[in-house]
Amino acid sequence: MRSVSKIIIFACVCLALRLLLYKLMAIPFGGLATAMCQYDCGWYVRLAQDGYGSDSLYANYLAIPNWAFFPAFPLLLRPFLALTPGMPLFTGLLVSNACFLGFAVVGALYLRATRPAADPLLWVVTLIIFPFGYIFSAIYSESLYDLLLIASVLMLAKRRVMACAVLTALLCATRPTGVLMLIPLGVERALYLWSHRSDADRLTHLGEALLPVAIAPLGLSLYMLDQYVQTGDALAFNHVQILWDRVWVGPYRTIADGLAAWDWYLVLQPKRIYSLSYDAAWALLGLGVAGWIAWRRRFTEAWLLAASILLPASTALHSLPRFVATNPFFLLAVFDLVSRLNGRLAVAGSFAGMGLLHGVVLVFWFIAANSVY
Amino acid sequence: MRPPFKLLLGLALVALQTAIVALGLFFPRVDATYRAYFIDQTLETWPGDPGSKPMTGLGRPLRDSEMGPYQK
Repeated sequence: MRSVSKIIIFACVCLALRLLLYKLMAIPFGGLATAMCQYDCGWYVRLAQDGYGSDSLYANYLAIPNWAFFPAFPLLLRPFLALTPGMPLFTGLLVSNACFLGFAVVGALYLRATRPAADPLLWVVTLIIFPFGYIFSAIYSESLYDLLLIASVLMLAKRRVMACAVLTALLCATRPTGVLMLIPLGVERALYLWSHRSDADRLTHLGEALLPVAIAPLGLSLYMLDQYVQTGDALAFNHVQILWDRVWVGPYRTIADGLAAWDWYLVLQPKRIYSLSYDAAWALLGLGVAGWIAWRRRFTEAWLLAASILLPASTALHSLPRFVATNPFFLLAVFDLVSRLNGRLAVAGSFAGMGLLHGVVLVFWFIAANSVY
Repeated sequence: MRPPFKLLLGLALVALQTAIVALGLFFPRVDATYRAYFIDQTLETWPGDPGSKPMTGLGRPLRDSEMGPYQK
C-alpha cells in the first residue's frame, strides 16, 4: 500500500511537470497566468477583490450582479490576493492548483477506502493527464469543489458524519450543486435512526441523526441570509441566472432540443457560440456513466454525478461539458476504465491519447473556444 | 438525565434556516439598486409576455408595489 507522503510527493511532481508544460505552451498566448484566465476567472478574481453587488470592471453599483458565483472560493482567494497585490492571476493559479493537489490526494484516500486494489499513483496520473483537467489549474471553483466533495463522501464512507456535515456546509457555499450531498448524508442518518429505533435513549439518537443534517446546508443558508441583507432577495443567486439565459424548463427539454439543433459545426467556433448538440452529448455521456456506476452498486457516486448534470441541465446546456468532465465521480469512472485495461501497453496508449487530446483542448482554452467551456 | 444538546442545537439550526428560506420566499425586500438593474434587465429578457414581471422565489410575480419607480 502506497504511503500518503509518497502519493503527495508524486502528485506534486506530476502537477509541477504539467504546469511547466502549460507554461511553455502558453508563451504565444501571453504567458501562463494570462492564458489560463478565461471566462469565469475574471468574475472570481474581481469578486475576491471587491465583494458582491458590484463588479469592479464596471466600476459602479449598477453593474452586472455577481451573486451567481458562490462565496467559498472567492473567500479562499481573498487573503492570498491581499498578500500579493499586483499579481492576482498568478496567486489565484497557485490557490487553484493547491486545491487540485488536495483533491488528488484525498481522492487517493477515497480510492483506498472504496477500491483497495486500485493504484493511487495511477489515479494521480489519470487526473493529471485527463483532457479537460486544465480547469482544475484555472481560477475556477472546480478544484475546491471537487476537494470538498470527495472529502465529504470519504468522511461519510468512514462514518465520520460530523466531519462530513462540516465539509458539506463548505460545499454548499462553493457551488449550488453542493446541496446534492444532503441526500446521501440524510439517507445515512435516516438509516442510523432506523437501526436505533428500539433503543431506550431515543432523544440522544435523534440528536445524533439531526445535528449533522442541520449543519450541512449552513453554507447555502448563510449565503442566502447575506444576499437578503445586501439586496433584499435571498434567492438573488437563483434569480440572476436569467442573465445567463437560464430558465427552468427541465432536463428532458434542454437535452432533446440540444440534440435536435444538430449544430455540431459550432464546436470549433470562437467564443460564445455554443453548440447545443455538443453540450447535450456531454450530458448524455455523463448520465450514461452515472448509470454504469449505479449498475456497479456505487449509488452515492451515481447520484452525485447524475444529479450534478440534471440540475444545471434543467435550465440550460452551456457549461455542461465542464460540469461533467470535472465531476470527481466521472473522473473516478474514467480511472476505473483505465484500471481495467490489460497490460502496460494499453494503459500507456490510453494515456498517450488522453495527453494528446489534453494538449489540443488546452490550446482551445487559451483561445477561449466555447467547446471547452 | 443529560439534556439532549445535539437535538436542541439541531432543532435551533433547522429553525434558523427555515426562517432564512421563508424570508427569501415570502418577504423579498428588493432595494432600489437591485431593482433598477435586475428588474429592468429581467423585463427585457423575460421569456414571458411583454410587461410581465420577474418572479419571486414562490413563483409569484413581483407586485406593482414592489416594483417601485422602475415599473415599465
